[in-house]
Amino acid sequence: MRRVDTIKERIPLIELRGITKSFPGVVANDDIHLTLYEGEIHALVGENGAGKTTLMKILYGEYRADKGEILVRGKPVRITNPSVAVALGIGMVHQHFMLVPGLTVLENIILGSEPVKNVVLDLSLARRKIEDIMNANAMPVDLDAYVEDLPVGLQQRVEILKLLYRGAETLVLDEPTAVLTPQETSELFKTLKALKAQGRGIIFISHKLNEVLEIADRITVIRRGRVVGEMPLEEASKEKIAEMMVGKPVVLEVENPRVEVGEECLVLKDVVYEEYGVKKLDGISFSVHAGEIYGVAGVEGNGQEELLKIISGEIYPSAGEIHITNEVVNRIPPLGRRKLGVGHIPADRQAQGLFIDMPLYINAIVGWHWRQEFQKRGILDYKAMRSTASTIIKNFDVRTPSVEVPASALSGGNQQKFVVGREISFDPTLLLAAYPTRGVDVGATEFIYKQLIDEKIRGKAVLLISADLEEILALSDRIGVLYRGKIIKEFSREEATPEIIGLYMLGVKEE
Amino acid sequence: MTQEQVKTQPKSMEWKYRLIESLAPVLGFLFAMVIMMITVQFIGESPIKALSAILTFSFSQSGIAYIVSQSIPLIIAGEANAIAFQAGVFNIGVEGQYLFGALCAGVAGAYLNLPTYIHIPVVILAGMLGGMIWILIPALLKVYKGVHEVISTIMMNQIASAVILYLVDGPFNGVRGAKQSFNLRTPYMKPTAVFPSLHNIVNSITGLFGFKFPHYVAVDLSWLIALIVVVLLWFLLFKTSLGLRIRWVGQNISASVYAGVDVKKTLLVTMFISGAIAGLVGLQEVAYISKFFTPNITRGLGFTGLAVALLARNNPLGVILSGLLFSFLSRAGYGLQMYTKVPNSLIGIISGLMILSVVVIDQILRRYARTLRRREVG
Ligand SMILES: Nc1ncnc2c1ncn2[C@@H]1O[C@H](COP(=O)(O)OP(=O)(O)OP(=O)(O)O)[C@@H](O)[C@H]1O
Ligand SMILES: [Mg+2]
Repeated sequence: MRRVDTIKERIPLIELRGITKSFPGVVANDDIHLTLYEGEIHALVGENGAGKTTLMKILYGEYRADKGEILVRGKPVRITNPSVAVALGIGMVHQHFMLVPGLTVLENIILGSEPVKNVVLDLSLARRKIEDIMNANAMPVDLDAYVEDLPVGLQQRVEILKLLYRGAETLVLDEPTAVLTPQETSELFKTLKALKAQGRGIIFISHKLNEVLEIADRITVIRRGRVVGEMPLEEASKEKIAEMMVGKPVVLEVENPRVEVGEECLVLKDVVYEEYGVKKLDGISFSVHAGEIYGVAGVEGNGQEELLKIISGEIYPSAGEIHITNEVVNRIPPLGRRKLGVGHIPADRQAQGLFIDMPLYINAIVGWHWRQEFQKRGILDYKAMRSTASTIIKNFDVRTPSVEVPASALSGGNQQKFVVGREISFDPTLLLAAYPTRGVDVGATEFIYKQLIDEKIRGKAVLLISADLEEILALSDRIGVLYRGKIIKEFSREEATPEIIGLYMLGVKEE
Repeated sequence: MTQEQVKTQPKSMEWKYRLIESLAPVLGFLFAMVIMMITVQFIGESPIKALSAILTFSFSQSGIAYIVSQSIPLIIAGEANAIAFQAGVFNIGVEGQYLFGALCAGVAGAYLNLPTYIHIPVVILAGMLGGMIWILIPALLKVYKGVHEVISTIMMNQIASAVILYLVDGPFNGVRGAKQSFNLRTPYMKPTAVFPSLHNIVNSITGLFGFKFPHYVAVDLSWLIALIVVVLLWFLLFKTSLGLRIRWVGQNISASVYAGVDVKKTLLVTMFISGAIAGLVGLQEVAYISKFFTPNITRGLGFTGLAVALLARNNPLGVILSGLLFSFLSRAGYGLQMYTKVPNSLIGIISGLMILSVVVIDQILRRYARTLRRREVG
């Protein structure tokens, strides 16, 4: 480990001085100072809405600061738009990816800086250059695959390749691990270490403090737009960071009592889902009772997506039976199931859970718009919508100046809190919770855990899908391991350990 | 708000972006005039003369009256496009839908014998039905087979041209023996089917401001129809649950599916509404001005309607203003034709250029405002 004081003598790669930025009703960044040196991974942590993304967008030229200075290798610069940032060697991977799904990996990487030889596109030159980068950093991807067919982890790798292809020396990664599986995360960390060894600087944003402690050299904590502390890794601990972020000590443990279970709210019997001759779900059977949280553990891509869709009604089973509150729902569309009391926290809040350009009072009723209180004879009751939105914002501590702003004006974690709040507010009988704490801070994670447990205590059934084994273990009363479209093993909470579940997840053990 | 973050009210530049956005159509219009003058200069006519010809021709009493009256079909066509756009559908087929709708209305007016208070509604419904029939195939193809509506509606436009010609030449020919296509028409509509004039009512209102519509300008039931369409559509889109679902589908299909919206049904309903409105576009001409249907009916209103909707940002109320603007542009074309030596064959090109520059400048400025807003306010 490099000593901090020797680092300080060198000229920083990036220096932000006194950055201040306001949005209507919010000061997102308030006199922020931040430095990044060559060969350093600098973690930026803070609550949802603390201003991390805003600060990075200023560095990347997407927003313009109201006040403050940016220095690149000691020289003051004016970054008026992202292409200026790219020319200065700064690259950013956004919280929500920006790839073109219908194009190939190669096309995505070169998009915007296409290699040209005598007016024609020189693809083979680009291909060679990218292959060199991939080899140097041990980050292989099939260049001819279509981006939409790639798992999230590889899509992210494409984003990073894109930056390297443009010669980025500073890489900004905004919550890169929020959507990754643990395996993908450790691959990403290998890449980051390689990049760091080449002398590049990396700004890394994450709410998962374990990861921060694993990968960062230095940590800056911001709270409500201000820097509240900066420390080298040696001085950091999980508790210390969490306390600085929130302003008070955080209990990272939640109490999860067992309660008397009621009848079965969700039953799957030998459900098969076939797509283009591939059995995505292959005779899956399990049930979730009122008063329990059933956690589905599994390596991503073993049928999680299809399982959710088949329960929410977006796809119908090819064989087998699904019961929700004692009704066979095989061919009932999503609306009918929601009317049976199904709440659904979707895997992707931006693509599914929200209409990103519409105001919060409209987003407050997405999925529940059919309810009596929002319409009289088909005419919308905007007053009821606004008050529902306000209630969600209040109860779930969503940071926003008002319910009139579009969902896109919320920080990523606050969007997530809004969606979770909405789905819980309508008091569902069965709650499908997919990655419920994706992108939310430690405080809010704890809060959402409590809410899910409360649901259970109030006699609701909760189906939890998550890539985070710790989350599953903390919340679930029973755990099913999903492997190749089947639940291959069920555990009660008492029997479950990460090790044994891990073995089943990888298919090493099978019943 | 209880949060500390709300401590200062930052100087919002919002008003500036709003200003740019609302000036966009105006600047687009000025640019169109400049383009027109440059073109005229090229042709060898005096730009000043052309401009004054346009202005005097347009802003005389009858000029204004014509502009308002002729905006009616444009407004209706704009609404037909706007509702489709709101659901993310590109109904390029308004053109064919109004041709067929107008034929249906003309036939219903000519062949049925009904008392007038039933006959007129039947004519209107026949127009709407015609429009709906003409969007049926593209709608079904889109929803059930995934065929893009741009392709299918364009093809339906071609088919419409051929079909109306065949039908008016054959079964619905009103002038036996007329072989020349410019003579083709359906029989005259029954007096019970002809739209009543609204001159008296309208003039009693505009008279308060010292303006009267001359008798030779169409002021008829189609005005009321247009008004009803505008109001209903606005109400549908922004006040009803169905309207909200239509806008959802237009914004994000997978979120709509998640929310439990029946996307297919919503798309079908929207396209039928669009087709029904399109079927009303030709009624002023058929049921009031000429009192019969002819294949020589004014063409191109459907395409202009696309531009009308675009300029109005698909807002049903905005369509009124943008309809008036486009009506003025076509009036300007006539002005050039009458008072300058600009050849007839170039008038169409100049009109087209003016439409194009309004739309292009408007879009450029709006995008500029959006970029600024994203950067400063986010
Ligand atoms: N485009 C915008 N318009 C208005 N307000 C915005 C906009 N973007 C962000 N904000 C506000 O600025 C504040 C900081 O948001 P930012 O996205 O930077 O937070 P963050 O630290 O990245 O949070 P998260 O961890 O949830 O992603 C929030 O209060 C947010 O509501
Ligand atoms: Mg963020």
